Amino acid sequence: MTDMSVAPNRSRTAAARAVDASKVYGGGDSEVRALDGITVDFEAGRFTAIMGPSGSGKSTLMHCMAGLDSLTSGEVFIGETPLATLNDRQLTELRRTAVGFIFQAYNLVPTLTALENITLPLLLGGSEGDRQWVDTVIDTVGLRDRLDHRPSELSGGQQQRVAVARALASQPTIIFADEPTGNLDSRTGAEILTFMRRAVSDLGQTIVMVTHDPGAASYSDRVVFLADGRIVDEMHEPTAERVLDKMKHLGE
Amino acid sequence: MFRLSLRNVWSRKGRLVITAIAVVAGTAFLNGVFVLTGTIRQSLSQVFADAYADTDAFVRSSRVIEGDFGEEARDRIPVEIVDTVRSADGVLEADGYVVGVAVVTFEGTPLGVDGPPKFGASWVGGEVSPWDIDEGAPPVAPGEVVIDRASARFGGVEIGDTVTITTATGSQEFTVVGIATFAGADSFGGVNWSFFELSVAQQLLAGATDALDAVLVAGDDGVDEVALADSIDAAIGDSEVEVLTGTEITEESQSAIQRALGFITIFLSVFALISLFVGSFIIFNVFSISAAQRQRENALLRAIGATRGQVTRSLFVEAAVVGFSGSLVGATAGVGLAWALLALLNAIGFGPGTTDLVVGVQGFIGTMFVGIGVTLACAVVPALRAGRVPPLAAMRDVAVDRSAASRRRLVIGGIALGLGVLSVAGGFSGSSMLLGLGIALVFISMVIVGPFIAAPVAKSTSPLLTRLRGAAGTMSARNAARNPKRTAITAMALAVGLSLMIAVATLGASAKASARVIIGEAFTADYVVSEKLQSGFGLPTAVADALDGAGVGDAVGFAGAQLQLNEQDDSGVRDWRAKAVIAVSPQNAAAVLELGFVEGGFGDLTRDGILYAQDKAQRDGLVLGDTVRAKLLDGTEVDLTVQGIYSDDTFGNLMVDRALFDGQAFPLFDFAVFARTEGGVSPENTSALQAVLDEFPSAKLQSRDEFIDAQDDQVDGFLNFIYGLLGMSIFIAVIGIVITLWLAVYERRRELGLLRAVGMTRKQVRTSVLWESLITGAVGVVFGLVLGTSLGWIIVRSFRDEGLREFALPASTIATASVAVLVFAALAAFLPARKAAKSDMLDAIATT
Repeated sequence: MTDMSVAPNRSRTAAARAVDASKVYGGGDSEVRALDGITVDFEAGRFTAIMGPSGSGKSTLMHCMAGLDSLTSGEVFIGETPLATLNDRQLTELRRTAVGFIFQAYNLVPTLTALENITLPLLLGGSEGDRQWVDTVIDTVGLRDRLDHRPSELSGGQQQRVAVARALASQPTIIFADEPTGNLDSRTGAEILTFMRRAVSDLGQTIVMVTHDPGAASYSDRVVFLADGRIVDEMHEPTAERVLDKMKHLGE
Repeated sequence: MFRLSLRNVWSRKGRLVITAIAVVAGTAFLNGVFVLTGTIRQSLSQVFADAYADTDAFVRSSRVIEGDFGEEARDRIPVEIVDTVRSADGVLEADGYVVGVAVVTFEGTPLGVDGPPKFGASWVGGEVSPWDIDEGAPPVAPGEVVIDRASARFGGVEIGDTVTITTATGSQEFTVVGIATFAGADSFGGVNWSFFELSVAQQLLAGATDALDAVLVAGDDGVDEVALADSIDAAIGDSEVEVLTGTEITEESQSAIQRALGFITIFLSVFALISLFVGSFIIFNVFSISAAQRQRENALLRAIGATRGQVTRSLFVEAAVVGFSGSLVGATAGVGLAWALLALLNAIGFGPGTTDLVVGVQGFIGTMFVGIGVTLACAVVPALRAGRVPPLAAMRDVAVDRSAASRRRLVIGGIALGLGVLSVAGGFSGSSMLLGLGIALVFISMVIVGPFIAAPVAKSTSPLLTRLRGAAGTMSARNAARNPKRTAITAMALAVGLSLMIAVATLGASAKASARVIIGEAFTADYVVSEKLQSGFGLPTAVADALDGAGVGDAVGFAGAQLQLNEQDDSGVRDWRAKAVIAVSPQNAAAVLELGFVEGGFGDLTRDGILYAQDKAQRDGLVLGDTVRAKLLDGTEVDLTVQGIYSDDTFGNLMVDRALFDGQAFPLFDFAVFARTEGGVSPENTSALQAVLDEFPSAKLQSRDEFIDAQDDQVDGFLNFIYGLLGMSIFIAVIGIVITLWLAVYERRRELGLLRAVGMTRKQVRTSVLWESLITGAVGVVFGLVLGTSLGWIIVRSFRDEGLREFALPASTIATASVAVLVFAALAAFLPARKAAKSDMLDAIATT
C-alpha cells in the first residue's frame, strides 16, 4: 500500500472521482449547500469509508457519485466516464454494469429469490454474467444453501449478505455502500463488514462506504471526513479509536 | 375520531377521487337511465295530454281482446252512433274517427324509420282535434291526403306530390293536399301520420264505410265531463259501447306508455346495476388496499388507545364520504349522460324531440342511496379487517396480506360452486328460480376461489414472460401473483362484463344457428316478402293475394291474430283467454311450410278448424277431432275442431284459417308472405315477383337465403345494443385496473426506486407494469371465458324447449372480445406505468 493524500493523484487509477462537486438545495436565504466544491478520488482496489456528522453531505456525495442524483456544478466520473454527459438510459446502464449498491434497508426485491436478487443487475441487462464469478461471490458470502429463499424467509444478516453478493455479482467498477450495517446487531454487522473487506482484499473489488460508525470505518483502508459539504480530513489504515477521536474533534 | 377520519379522507384527496370514480361510473349510468326514461315518459304523456286536450268524451266499442304484452284488438262501432251522440245533451261537436296502419311511400321510399308505427286516420277538423293544417288544405275528397310535418320533411314531400299509401286493404295513390302539425309540434310521438276524409279513411283502413273506431266529442262550454259522458251513454244505451271522459282516455293512453316504458326502465337498470356490481369489486379492492397500506397507522392508533370499533368506524366514515360524494357526482353526471343520449336519439329519429330533461327526485335520491349503500357494503370487510390489526403491527414493517390461500376459503368456494352446479342442474327441470340462484352461486364461488386460480395463472406466465421480456417479465409475473386476492378481484371485475358479453354472444349465435336449422327444416319456400320498415305490423293481405294470383307460384301470407279460447287453467277453472294465433290460407301453406305434422295437416284445415302444436295440445289434453270454443272480436262464438297436430312450434303454437276473421274489425296483416316458385330462385322468378310488388312499395322481396341472413342481422343488431350496454361495465373494470395498478405502484415505490438504482431502465419499469396489467387482463379473460361459456351454455340449454335447439360458440366474437379486453388492459397500464417509471430512487433508499 502506498501513502495516499487528499489531493487527486492522477498516476493512480481512480474507480470514481469528483471534481469541484457542488450540490445546492433551494435558493436565496434558504439555500443549503449539501456539497460545497468537493474534489476527491476513490482508487480502484481499495475500501474507502466516508464519515461525517449528520448533514455533512456524505450521503449526498455518495448519491451523486453513484448517478442516483445530479450535481449543481462540478463533475463526477465513474472510471473515465463523466456522468453529466449521460442521459437517463445510459446512466441506468452505467449503474447496472459499473456500480454496485448496498443500502441500509430495502435492499432486496421481495418477489425474487436470493439468487435472483443477487443476479438482478445481470438479469436486467439480459446477460448471464460470469457464472464462475457469481459462484465465487455466493461462496464468499456463504449463501449457497439459501439461494431459493425469498427475502422474507431470510434473517436481516442474510438479507444484507445477499445485498453484498448482488453488489459484487456484476464485477462493477465501484461499489457504494450506504450504512450497510446500520440495521444490524454488532455481531452480524461485523460479519458483513468482513465480507466487504474480503471482497476488496481477496477479490480486488472497490468499495466506498458511508457510515457514522467508527467500528465499521475501521474495516476500510482509508477514511474521508466530511463536514458542511467539504472534505475536512482523511485517515489511512484507520482504527476505531482513532476515528472516534477524529469524530469528536469534528463534532466540536 | 370522527374528525380524524374526515381529515384522513381529506389528506388523501387523490385516493378519494379514484375510489369515487368507480362509484361515479355506476351511479351515473343508473341515474342516466332514470332521467332518460323519465324524460321520454313525461314527453309521451304530454303528447297524449295534448292529443286529448280538447276531447271531453270518447266513445268506442267495449269489445276488446287484450294480448299478453298489452297489445289489444278492439271492435268497431256502427257509423250511425255519431248521430246519436250529437243528439245527446251537452254535446257541442261529435266526429267519427277511424285509425289504422298506413305506410306512406314517396318515390319508392317509405316515410319514417324502423320502429315507430305508421298510422293513417280520418281527418277530424274542428275543436276536438289536436291537429292543425299548417300548410295547404284539409282532405275533403277521395285521392287527397294530409301528412305530418315531420314525415313530409323526412321524405322531402311537398304539396301536390303523389304518394302511395299502403293499408290493410292494399296500396293506392294519393295527392298530398296539406301538411299538418300536432299541437304545434312537427310530429306526434315519432309516429308517421296520414289523414283522409272520413269515408275515404273508412274504406281505406276498415274496408267499409259503416263502421268507426271511435267518436270524439267536444262538450258545450262549461259542461262537466262526467255528466257529458253519462248523458252520451244514456243516449246510446248499448252495453257494448263505452263512453270515456277525456281525462279517462288520456290516462289510459298514458298508462299504456308508462307500462311499456316501465319494462325499458327495468331492462336498462339491470345493466346499470351490473355496472355498479362490477364497480363494487373495484371499491372493495381500493378499500382493502387502503386499509392494508395504512396498517401501521391504524396499529399506531390502536397502540395509543383507539378501540377496535373506532378504527373500524373511521374507515366507514371514509366509505360514507366516498359513497356520498361519488354518488352525488355520479347522479349528476347521469343527468348529463341522459342529455347526451337523448340528443343522440333525437338525431337518429327515435327521440321524443325534446331535450327538456325530467330529473326525478326519486330517481336521483334512489341512485344516491344505491351508490352509498354499495360503497358502504364494500367497506365492511376491509373496515373489520382494519379494526383487527394488532397494536404491535405498528412496530413491524410493511405487512403482507397472506390470507389468500386459506383452506377455509377453498372449502367455502368449493361448496358454493358445488351448490351452484346442483342448482343449475335442478333448474333445467323447469325452475327458473333455481337456475338464477345457481348462476349467482357460480359467480360468487368464482369470486371466492378466484385467488386460487389467479396466482397459478399469473405464475405460469413467468417463464414465457422471462423469455420475452427478461427480468422485467419475471417481475411482472411475480407482481401479479404476489397479491392473488387483489389480482383475482380486479380480474373478476373484468370477467363479469366479459362473461356476460360472451354469454350473450353465445345466446345470439345459438339463436342464429337454431333459426337456421329450424328455418332450414320448416321453411320450404323460395322467396319471402316482408315489410321494408319494421314497424311491427306487416303487409296487407292483398300482397299475398296478388302474389298468389300472379301465376308465378304459390304464395301464402302469415298473419298474427288474436282470439279468445275457452280454456281450463291448471286449477281446472274454465275461462276465456286471449290467444295469439297464426292465420294462414291453408290451400298453399303446405307448400311453403313444413311443420312436422304428427296428425292431420294444412290440407285438412277449414274455416272452423284449428291446428295445435303438439306440446300445447298435450298440455290442454286435446287430440285430433276435439273441439275448442273460440270467441271472436265481435263476440261471435264458434267451435273450432282440432284438425291437425304439428311438432315444430317455431312459428307459433296455434294456427287457423284466415277466413275465420272475415268480417271482423281485426285487420289482418301478414308479417311475412312465403312464396314457392317453379324452378326455385331464379332471375326470371325474382323479376316476376318484383313486378307484382311494384304495386306495394312498402313490401320487400328476399330470396330464402337472403331472408335467413336477414334474421342473423336482426339478432346481430340486438346483440350490438346489449354489447354497448355491457361495455359500460367493462369500462369500469378497466378503470379498476388503472386504480389497482396505481395503488400497487404507490405501494411499491421503494422497491421500484431500488430497481431503478440497481439498473432497471425506465422502459423496463414500464414494460413490467404493462405486462402485469396484461396478466391481470389475461386472468380476467380466463375467468370470463370459463364463466361466459358456461353461462351461455346454461341459458341456451334451459331454452332448448323454446326453440334454442343448437348450441353455438361464436369463436370470432369471443376472440375479438378477449383481445379487446387485453388491449384495454394494456391501455389501463399507461398511467400507472408512467408513474412507476418516475419512481424516485432516493426516496426508495431513504432509511426512514
